[in-house]
Amino acid sequence: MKKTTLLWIITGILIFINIIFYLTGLGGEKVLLFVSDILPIICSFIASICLVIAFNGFKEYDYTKIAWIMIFTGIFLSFIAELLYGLQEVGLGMNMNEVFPSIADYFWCIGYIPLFIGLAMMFIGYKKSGFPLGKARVYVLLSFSYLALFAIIAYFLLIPIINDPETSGLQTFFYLFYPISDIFLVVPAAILMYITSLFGKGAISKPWKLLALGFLSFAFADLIYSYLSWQDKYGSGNMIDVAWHLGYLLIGLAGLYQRELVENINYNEL
Amino acid sequence: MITYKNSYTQKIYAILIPLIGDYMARGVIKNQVAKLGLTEENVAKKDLQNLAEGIKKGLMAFIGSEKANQVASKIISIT
Repeated sequence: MKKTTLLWIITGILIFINIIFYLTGLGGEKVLLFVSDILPIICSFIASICLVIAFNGFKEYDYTKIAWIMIFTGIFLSFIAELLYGLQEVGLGMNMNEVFPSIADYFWCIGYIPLFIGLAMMFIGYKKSGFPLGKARVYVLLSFSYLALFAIIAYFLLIPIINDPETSGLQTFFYLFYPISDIFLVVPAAILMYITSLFGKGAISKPWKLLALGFLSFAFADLIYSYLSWQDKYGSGNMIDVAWHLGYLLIGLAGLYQRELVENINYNEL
Repeated sequence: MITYKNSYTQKIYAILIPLIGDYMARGVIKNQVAKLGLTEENVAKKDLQNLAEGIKKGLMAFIGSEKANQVASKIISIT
């Protein structure tokens, strides 16, 4: 069985388990807490392994390999963050809303830097290549959509958080960091998504498509999380977790498809 | 799908299609031949080296330099 097929099956099983436990509350509060902490650890670990497989497929240390290493680094830091979060909540019995920002948040935040660098490297590398970038009017439309999204997020989330007198300076920084970073991450992800749509069914586009979908999934979950967490309404078993888990697994799939793509090109043997 | 009268262009197109799809293959060929001051229909054997170089740069973002070099070599070896 191909590794990609296997991971699609694993993805289906993990998401199914996730939804069943979250919808039914099977086993009670303690089980739900355990499931909600263990699933992101498993998903981010799988994604990290798949990204190692992806960048090991490149023989030469060019910017493509470095971009994939950057994405791996970001996801691996998220894995550490998920691990620390789980240990604190399940292992030490800490109330994560009370200790926000926890040590895990620092790892998530630092993880954004290599993720953004990796995506930017891919986009800049592509732009320099002279390959078609698509229609200018699509970029205009994307820019307007982006500005509209930014305005909505600023109005409903950023400004209320800044003006909230009950939130401390450090908490405000972290509450703002996630949505703002996501806004920045959405830009290269959306552009990659558009560029890959130009490739139609070309084999080359699959890893980028899945990567872009993974990051968009993260952005969606992070934005809702920031709002819910700030309102003290985020807890174990929240359905937005599914978007994070799916995001990790889609990024993992992107890594495996990248390796498959590189292995399938072998003109030397022709 | 498109059929070029020029056999070199057609063979480059055939190499690129499985990788980058029909739309991009046409776009890439159009861009690259234009950069060399050519059209799709007057590509000659001597142009393959420069065409392959341009295509290689584009493919690098997706498949890395090693595999992009292989695709470029395949283009250069077209007869």
